[in-house]
Amino acid sequence: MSLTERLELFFALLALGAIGFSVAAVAIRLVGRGDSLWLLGQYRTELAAAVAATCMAGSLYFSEVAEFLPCTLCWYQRIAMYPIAILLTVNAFRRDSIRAYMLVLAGIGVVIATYHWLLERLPALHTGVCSAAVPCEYIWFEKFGFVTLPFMALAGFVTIITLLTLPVDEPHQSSDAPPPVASNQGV
Amino acid sequence: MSQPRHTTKKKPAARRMSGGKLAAMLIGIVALLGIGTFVATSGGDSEEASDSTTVPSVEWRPVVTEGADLVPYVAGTADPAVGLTAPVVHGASFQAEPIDIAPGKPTLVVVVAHWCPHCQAEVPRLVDWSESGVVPAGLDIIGLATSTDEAAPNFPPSKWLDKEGFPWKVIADTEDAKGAKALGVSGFPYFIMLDAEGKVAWRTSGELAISDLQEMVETAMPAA
Repeated sequence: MSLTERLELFFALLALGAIGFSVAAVAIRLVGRGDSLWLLGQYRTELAAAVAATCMAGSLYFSEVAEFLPCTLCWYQRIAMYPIAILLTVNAFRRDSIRAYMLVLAGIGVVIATYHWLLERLPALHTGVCSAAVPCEYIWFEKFGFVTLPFMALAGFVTIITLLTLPVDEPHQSSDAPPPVASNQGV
Repeated sequence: MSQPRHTTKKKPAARRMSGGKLAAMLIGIVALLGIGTFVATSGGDSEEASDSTTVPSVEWRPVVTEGADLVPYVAGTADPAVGLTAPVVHGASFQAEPIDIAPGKPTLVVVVAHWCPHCQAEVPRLVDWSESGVVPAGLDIIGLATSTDEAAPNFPPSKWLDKEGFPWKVIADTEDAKGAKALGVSGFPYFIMLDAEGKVAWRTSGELAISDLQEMVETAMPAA
């Protein structure tokens, strides 16, 4: 198995793990136990930055080393993901309030990645033509029958949103206490 | 009176350590996943080398063209190639049988890429069309399998078209898609209708309903 094939599998497993984490986090919050995630919430900026940086590194490897040419929709997803990776990494040190901007970018990324992934499953959604240059319907690789590059991007965006919306308050804090004016969470 | 803006900044040391341990644990999980992936998939390199030598070379064949290439087709605009003489294409099938796209009979060239889902949807329709008995007599139909990529899905095209029962002759294009470029292919599936003199009657790209294809072909056929 070549290095690229191993990395395809590795990133596919990471994507599944990320989606699993996001689903678990949402489920925990839905049953009213969201406070239990506060410990992760303390590091939500760093964790989200790590997820975005991993996505960026993966996409750069696949395009520049493995030579999987990015299609138009891939570029749109990069436009959303790369700023998140850079700005959240900087924000992990500077602690400015940029969470809203990151959530908007990640939200746009979720929409595009979802459409791209659906397009791979249901090509009829598009114009009925595969571009001779770099068609968006082209599946460079597929793991477990459904994990493709757009799915990995979708997993990254969803996980970033999940992380950035984690609670940062400690669970025993009284709900009627005045909220802190500014936390040290930056985003 | 100004608010104490950083009252929540400092965390108890124990909690900070717990968070740090948690972060370290997450990084450890990712690292273990990576190591596990590499360990579990190691040892297959020699197999890969043997795989690359067993790929049948018949999926690509030399193509020679005569005449100027047609400009790439652009949907939604008046096609400047209509009325021009298409280049003559000398190619060969997957089994190396010579096939030419040349003047002589009205000819429909169907260009497909094995990895393209729209081609995968169109080919069964074309097979049904061939079996329907309505294909105009005197029409020559030639397939062109191009943009073939062994790393892409649904490879090899020879097996795919054989499995689908594609009934017409198929030219295997070169690795750099020389035949497709000569015909101005910009997307897949791609259709180009040539009259008996080898002039372009029409070109189109994308999935086509067979009723539309039938109508388009009939308008380009000489009156009986």
